[in-house]
Amino acid sequence: MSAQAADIRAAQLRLQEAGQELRRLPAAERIAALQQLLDALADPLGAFQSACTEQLASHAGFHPETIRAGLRLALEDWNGSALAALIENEVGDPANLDSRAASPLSAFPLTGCILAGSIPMPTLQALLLPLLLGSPVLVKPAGRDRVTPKLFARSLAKFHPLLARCIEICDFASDDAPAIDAFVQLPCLVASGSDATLERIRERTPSGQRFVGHGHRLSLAIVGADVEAEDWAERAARDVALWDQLGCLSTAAVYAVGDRSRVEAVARALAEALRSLEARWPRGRIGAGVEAAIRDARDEARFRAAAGQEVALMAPDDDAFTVVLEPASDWRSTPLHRFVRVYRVATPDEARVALLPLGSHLAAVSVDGVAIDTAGDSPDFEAKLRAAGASRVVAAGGMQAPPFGWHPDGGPLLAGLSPRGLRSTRA
Amino acid sequence: MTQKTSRAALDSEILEWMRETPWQHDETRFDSLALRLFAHQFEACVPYARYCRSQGSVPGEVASWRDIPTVPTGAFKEVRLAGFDPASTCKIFRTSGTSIARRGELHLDTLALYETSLEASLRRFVFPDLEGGERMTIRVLAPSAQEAPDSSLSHMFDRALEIFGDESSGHDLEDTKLCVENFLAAVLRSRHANRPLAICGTAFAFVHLLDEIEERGSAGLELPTGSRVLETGGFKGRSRSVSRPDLHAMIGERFGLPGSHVLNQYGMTELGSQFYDGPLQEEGAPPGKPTPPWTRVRLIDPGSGDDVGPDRTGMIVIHDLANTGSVAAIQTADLGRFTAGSVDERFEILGREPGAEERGCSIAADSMLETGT
Repeated sequence: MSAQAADIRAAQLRLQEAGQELRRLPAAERIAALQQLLDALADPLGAFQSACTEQLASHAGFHPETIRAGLRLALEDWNGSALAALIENEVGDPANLDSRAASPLSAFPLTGCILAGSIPMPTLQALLLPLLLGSPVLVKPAGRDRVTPKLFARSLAKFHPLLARCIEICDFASDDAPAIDAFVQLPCLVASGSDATLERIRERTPSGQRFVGHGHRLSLAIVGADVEAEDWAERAARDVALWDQLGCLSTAAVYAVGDRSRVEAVARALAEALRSLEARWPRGRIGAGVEAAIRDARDEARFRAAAGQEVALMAPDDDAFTVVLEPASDWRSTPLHRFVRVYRVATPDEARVALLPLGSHLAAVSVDGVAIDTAGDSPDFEAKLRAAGASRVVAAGGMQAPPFGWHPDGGPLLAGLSPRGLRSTRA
Repeated sequence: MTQKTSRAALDSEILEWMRETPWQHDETRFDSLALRLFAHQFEACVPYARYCRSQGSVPGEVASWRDIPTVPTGAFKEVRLAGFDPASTCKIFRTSGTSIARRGELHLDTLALYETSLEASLRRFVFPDLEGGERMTIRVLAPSAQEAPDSSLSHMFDRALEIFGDESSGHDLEDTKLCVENFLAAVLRSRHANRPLAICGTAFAFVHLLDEIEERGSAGLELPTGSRVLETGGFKGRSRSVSRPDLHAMIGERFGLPGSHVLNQYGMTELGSQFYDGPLQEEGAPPGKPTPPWTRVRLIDPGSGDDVGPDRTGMIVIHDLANTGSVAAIQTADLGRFTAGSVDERFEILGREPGAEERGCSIAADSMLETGT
């Protein structure tokens, strides 16, 4: 057994003991403490956002101003009222969260969270929800964000020391097999990461164990032919620039409706908006591999343009951002890190069809001006996007501020975390 | 002004160089051939010429091979990058991919340069101990060229079998399935006869093979002295990946091979030449892949495009004179580093740095498409 595996076992025992106390707490007390916590996290001038900004900048490479803006926007409405709304939507009477109640939702004795990435919001949600149900949490932090879980636990301790004792952080290398094997024995396992990572964890999880996988996803934008390009671009650029386009709610690509000149105007407006945002929210550090991927993708665009394809590259001399105007809707790979392809489509429905192959990995779609364009089609365009896999459909500029109760699958958040709830095993 | 040389004359000069032993790096000879080949390709391959013009680089104004415009490998997915009449095509190699993802194509009107380059490198780096027509048993963990006619990898392994393989050689992967029984029988035969065995295959096939062996609990698979492994390819689109050092350690441990006898080959469909680890050819050689004399490797700063200095990481750019029929100057998205003390002549592959997925929860959609979702 590795030292980390032994640490996991010891933490498990401590958490199970703390969990017994936790479940004796009235649900109202748990809920109130978590509401206070969320209100504190939502404060842009509060200790959590300040520390998170400073520490995440050095850990994850984002520019502090980008983090500050991302936290402010995303957490603005993640407050105590949002938690109350979630409970009302998914549980009904908050008393149903009491362990004594014959609740449709109960708590696992312990929940393990394997975190990934470096965007704080999914981490906050992953830690808070099991506590809400009454389950202590053992956390393996993401390699690029060891900050958020610590800050969350520290903030919680100020409001409710017992709840704070119900979170422990256990860091171990992702190739430490004994530690992974110890971790996957936990009664409920919530894991984030790439499909391959989730598959590897799932393979090691004992059969019959609850496994909740949150795979990587992407989001897209659709902009109609009559939308004022500059106004749209200013909003869409924020969706791209926040978290350097690395969140699952970041706009990875744009489908613009119209002829060549209209779509070129949209692309140019987006490039201009990204250029001016760069001054406010500079893109963070990137490694040589990402630099190489951006250069490669830009050179490929230059080659295609020289070969006579209707491709246009709009980018500064450095690699702060890139916009590539694409002549058709065929998907092309993207290095992200503020690299956006603007695909030309004849109709909104062509965009919808183009994103069908991405369906199971789709998170959100921003839609602007579609109702104006396609009167006959518009009443159910949103429904069609949802059927294609999008669990959020919003206007550009709102992508990075999901409601607290949003689940990437579009379903409830709590059911998968409860022994009596539905199993959620999507990778 | 660069002197015009016919394609046939260029082919002949380059083939002659490939056949020479010992290998001699000759900057003047390379420069002359590269510039004349550039002039020919500029004239013969219209999409390449357009690209060069857009970059402001045309023959006659390019002073050194280092200044010849390079095309990104993605260009091979976009247009037919060939400098000959399509009717003369004898072979098209295609990159792997799904029905959704585009596939790159290398069009060839002759296999002479490809195969001569291949044989020279295999003889030097993988089978340096086979003399005078000597052969050894080679088991291949990849489909045959008959099964995968557009795979350059299958073609390469089949040529290795033809040139260096004995009658017990063959493939242990058919219909995308590993034939583990066949493979283990070959290992046993090699052990009983105390005759070294060569195993060639893709990195992913080796991982799959090692998993299968582990699952079966097969033991006693240490191979006779002189046995060797050649692995190539990455893990793109696979559900499981293993770092190259870990894979080599696992292979070495399972088959009882020293590190010097577990080799990696770096190649790509778009290239006519490949690059191999060198320890079998040169005992105690520093890590890295020596470049054949008819190739040059540049490592560039992705931001500026300038050459990086020794010990610095850069994007790998390859100038391969074996690519006479298409474009010789190719920019990859891979990262590499020159091995200390051997700038230009030996380099290490660092692969592609994990990017977006490490930092966020957005998926790079090419991965998504590669996994066929």
